[in-house]
Amino acid sequence: MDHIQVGDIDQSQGKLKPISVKVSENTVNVDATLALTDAVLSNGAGSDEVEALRTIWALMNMGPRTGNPVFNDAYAQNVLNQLHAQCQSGKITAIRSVREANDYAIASGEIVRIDADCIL
Amino acid sequence: MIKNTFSTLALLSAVLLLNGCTSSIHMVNTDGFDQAIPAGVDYKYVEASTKQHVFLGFAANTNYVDDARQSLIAQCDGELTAVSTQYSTDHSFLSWYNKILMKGVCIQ
Repeated sequence: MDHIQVGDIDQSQGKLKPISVKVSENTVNVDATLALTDAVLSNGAGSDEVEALRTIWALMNMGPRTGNPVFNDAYAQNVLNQLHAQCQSGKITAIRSVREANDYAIASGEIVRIDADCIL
Repeated sequence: MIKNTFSTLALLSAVLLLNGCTSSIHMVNTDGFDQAIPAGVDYKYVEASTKQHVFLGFAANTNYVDDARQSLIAQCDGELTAVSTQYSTDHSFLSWYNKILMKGVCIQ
C-alpha cells in the first residue's frame, strides 16, 4: 500500500451498491534484475560491466518513484470513465482511491484501484 | 582490446536505450460525484495536463498544478463535476518531469 484517500460518505439518499475499478501495469525492477543476474553469473563476485550498467540505469531514470517504475504511464487514464460507467444514477459516494502494488521481488504489478458506492 | 571495445559499445547502446523510458504513477484521486447528471442533459469529458521539469532537484514552473486546474475550468462553461487527478513522474537523465492529469465531467 502506497497511498489511500477516502472521500465523503453519504448514506442518506438511498441504497448503496459497491462498485470498483482496478487497473494495473506489470513491470520489472531493472536494478534488482541486473544485480541478481550479476550475482548468478559471477558467483557473487560482481562484474564492472554490470555495475556500470546499473549506474547508467540509475542516472538515466532519475526522479521520485512510487513502487517500481513502469514502462507505460497511461494505464490509469480511464478510471473516471470506468467508474462513471458502473453507476447508472451517476451519484457516487464513499470513494476510496488506492495506490498499491503486488511485489514479487524483481517484478511487480503496480495497481490503481478506486472503490466506491453507487447510490441507487 | 576487443573485449574493451565490445564493453564500451554495449554501454553506449545501454545509454541510448535506457534514457527516460520509465514512469511512476504516485496517486490517482477521484471525487465529486455529489451531483447526479440529470437525464437528457448534455455532458462531456474534459481533461487538462501540465508538467514541471526538475533538473538535479531544481524545479521550474511551480504553478503547474494550478495551471492544470485553470485549463480544466476554461474548457467547461457549465458545471464541472467528478474531477479526477493523476500525479505521476517521467524519469530521465539527471532530471525528471512531474505531471498532473486532471479529468472531469462537464454538464452543459
